[in-house]
Amino acid sequence: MSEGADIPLQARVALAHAAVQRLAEGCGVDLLHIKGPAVDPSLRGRPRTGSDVDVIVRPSGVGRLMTALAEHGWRTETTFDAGSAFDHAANLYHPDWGLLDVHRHYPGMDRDPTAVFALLWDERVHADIAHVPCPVPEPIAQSLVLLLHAARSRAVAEHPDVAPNWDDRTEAERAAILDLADRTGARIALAAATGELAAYAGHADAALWEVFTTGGDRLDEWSARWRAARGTRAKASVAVRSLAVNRYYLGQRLGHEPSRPEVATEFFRRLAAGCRAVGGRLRRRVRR
Amino acid sequence: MTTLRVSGHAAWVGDDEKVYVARVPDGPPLVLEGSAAVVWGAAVPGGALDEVVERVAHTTGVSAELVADDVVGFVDQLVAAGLLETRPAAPD
Repeated sequence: MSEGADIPLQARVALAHAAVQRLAEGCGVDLLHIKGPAVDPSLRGRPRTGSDVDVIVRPSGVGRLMTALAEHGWRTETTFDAGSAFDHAANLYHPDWGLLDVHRHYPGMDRDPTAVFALLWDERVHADIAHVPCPVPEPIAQSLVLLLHAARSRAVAEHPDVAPNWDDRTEAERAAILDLADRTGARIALAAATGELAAYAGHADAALWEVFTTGGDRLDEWSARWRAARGTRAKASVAVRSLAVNRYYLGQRLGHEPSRPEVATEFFRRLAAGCRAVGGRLRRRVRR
Repeated sequence: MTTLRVSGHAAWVGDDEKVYVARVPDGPPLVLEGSAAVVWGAAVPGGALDEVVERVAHTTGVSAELVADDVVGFVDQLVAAGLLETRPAAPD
């Protein structure tokens, strides 16, 4: 019996799912395991499963779970509002278990995270991961989750998860996925995965998905986030965060914890880059 | 008489030759190889310690008398690690 420094990735990820499940049960938090070994084998686009653990947490339990994770040796690498365009997931690391993405909502079905989680939870099934029963979305919901994830990639049509979860599904199954997308507010995001986003051109929610599927720079992404944000407060938050410095990514780039002067320098670099991008676009418009 | 069973806090993956097992949520993950993996496989169905010894003997082709001490010693380690649990056997 030896401690496993060189445990294969797939075994480590499976054990990590089990560890997170038992930890969630210990603090009374509901969560659903998604991706990797949580996915029904028939729906996996890749023979090998993922390199990290992904879970969606009931929104009311996010704070409790994050506290429990910290108490059990998980270190937060990126916070919810620093990770992606959707502010949806925090990324954590544990020396034994590896990486964990905690989703407080899921991109594409994020208008009412509490209601969406309740819907997915009510229809959950269980997957045996490392001999621990882990709650997972039922197979139709698994397909929707995987398709919405694929929709965030540029070559979405070639994404390996699209065929088993959409192209190879029966008409009835695709209808069920569409129905679930309607019930979770994910119809436009699903359209991005199935190549039908053009039908929603001009819709505020479609803007961000267009950036992902057709490509675009950071200015495109931020302007799309601005258009998709609902209400003055949400738009103001997008505007402020478009200039905010992500200390984690800056630290990764510098190779050390950034100092205050380094953060300030990065802030002004971002501000200048933003001004140049806007200026460039204005000049192009004037030339037309 | 006591019986053995896998702890509700144990998680594991692997096969007859190599098992990766951990007490979750805190770990650490452990590697059981060769005869250690055989003992784990024999303990998973649960039962009396004698039954576990018999299963190991059957799998390895070695007599129960010869393997008993090693199996009992290793089972004790697994119990101490919180991966197996003992409980009193139900009365006849």
